[in-house]
Amino acid sequence: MLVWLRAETRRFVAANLVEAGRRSPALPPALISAARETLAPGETWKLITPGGQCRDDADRYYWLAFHLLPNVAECDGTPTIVALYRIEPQILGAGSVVAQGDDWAVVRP
Amino acid sequence: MRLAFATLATTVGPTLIGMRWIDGPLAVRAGIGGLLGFVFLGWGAMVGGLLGAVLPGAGTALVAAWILGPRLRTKLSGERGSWVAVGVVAAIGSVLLVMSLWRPVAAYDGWAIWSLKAKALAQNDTFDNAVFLDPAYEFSHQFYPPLLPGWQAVAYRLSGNYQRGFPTQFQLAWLWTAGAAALAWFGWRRRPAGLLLVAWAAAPLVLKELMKGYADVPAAMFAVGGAALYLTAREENARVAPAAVLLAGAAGTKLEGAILAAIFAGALFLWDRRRRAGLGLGVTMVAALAPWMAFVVSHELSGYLARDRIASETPFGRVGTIAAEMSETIFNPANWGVLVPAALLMLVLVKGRAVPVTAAVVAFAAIFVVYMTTPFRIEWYLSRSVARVVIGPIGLLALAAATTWQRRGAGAALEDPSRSPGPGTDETA
Repeated sequence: MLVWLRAETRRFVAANLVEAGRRSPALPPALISAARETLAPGETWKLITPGGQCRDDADRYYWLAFHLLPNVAECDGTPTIVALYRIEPQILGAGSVVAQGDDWAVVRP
Repeated sequence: MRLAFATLATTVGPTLIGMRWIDGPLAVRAGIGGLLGFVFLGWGAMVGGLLGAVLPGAGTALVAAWILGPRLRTKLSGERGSWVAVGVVAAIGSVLLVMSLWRPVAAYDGWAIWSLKAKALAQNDTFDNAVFLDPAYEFSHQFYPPLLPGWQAVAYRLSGNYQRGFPTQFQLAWLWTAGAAALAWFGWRRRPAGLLLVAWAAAPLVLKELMKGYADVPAAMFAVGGAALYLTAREENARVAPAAVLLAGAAGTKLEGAILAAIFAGALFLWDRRRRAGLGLGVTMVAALAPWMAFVVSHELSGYLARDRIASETPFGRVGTIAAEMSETIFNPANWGVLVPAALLMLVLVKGRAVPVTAAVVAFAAIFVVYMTTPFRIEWYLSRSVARVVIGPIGLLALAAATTWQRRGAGAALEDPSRSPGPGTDETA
């Protein structure tokens, strides 16, 4: 088991996972960094993916919830930012894109 | 630098304070002392969080523990135990401690429940925040007892760094090393059966679940360590207050820990001639949990307990599935080696001591009933939880077998009532 744990630890190190562990990150690290840089204290966020909103895509939602604390989710009302994963920002209509990657975007609705 | 300070301050620090509660060989003082220190620190942080002051709460609890230690100290003889077994534990623990420095909070429940709460508690300095109260965070099982997040929150707060997971991994590796070292020393007068406790602590499944960052191994370690300490202290007519603290720690760490601790206290009440001891354990656990339960009730945090049951599944209709899955997990050599068959064989060959045997049997039964009545789909729930939920009951089984061997080999006085069995004996099952 110690050998297995060592191998797992090496995988974490190789993937630069220093905060939370998973076989592979549930969301792109760049998305999390962009969301963190955008959010001011007390501001809120929502996640939208092809799986749905927030808890509809549980694994990614929990992953983001852990990483974005102390900023908390606002899944029912209007959040300060929306994190989009594999969703085009246009679905939010008039929102402004704060940061964007290949398959993600951070949008102020 | 602050990370290192926070890590050591929440491991070495409480261990030194907990050691004041134990008088005996170094392995037991440091081992049980470590477990005690974590309970004091976590409980203090929990109460501090309820009052909006995590660090003052944790600090006050540690100061109180420092003062009370010599007054409530358990004095154990140095006659038992094996330095070889302790050495094996120290070697494994050293590897875990070193490895933890490169590890994040390693798996789902670790970051989605326990460390999420620790972070929220540390950042807000109170439980009055969204993670504990908002329906958006119901997934973190808001009503779960928060002793472990309390302990981890102190490290987050002292370090000021919320983006590194290794302090919590180091804490867990330290907890395992402390608990396993104590269990190794409790090796019941160097008899081979004493090694069952080391075999339990070092079982592949235990190490794997420990380093995931889940609460099951800490809860089991508090429960089994507390039970072992209680039985040893009773044999030697020593104080049982530290054992009560550990069992309260199990109750404060996880619901399954509360079940194990309550069952052990119930077994004491049933079989131990000193019934006040069982009552005392129960009162200690209730008193330790009362502040948190008041918070849970006042905020109506019921979580999944209030969910509707699955209409297509009945409690008795689940029996076959639960029995098959639990047996597969319990008897799988890849999880436990030969620990379970060896412990059962020992209990069949030698009449077991009633308290630990009853506690082990009822613990398995209680887990079974929990599965029968869970609101989750049973196959899904078993697949996600049974491997770690059985850790505590198997620990009690190993304890029952280990104490049985001691009773047969070294406890002749316990067999023969005319040889003054002393206050530590219990009836036999």
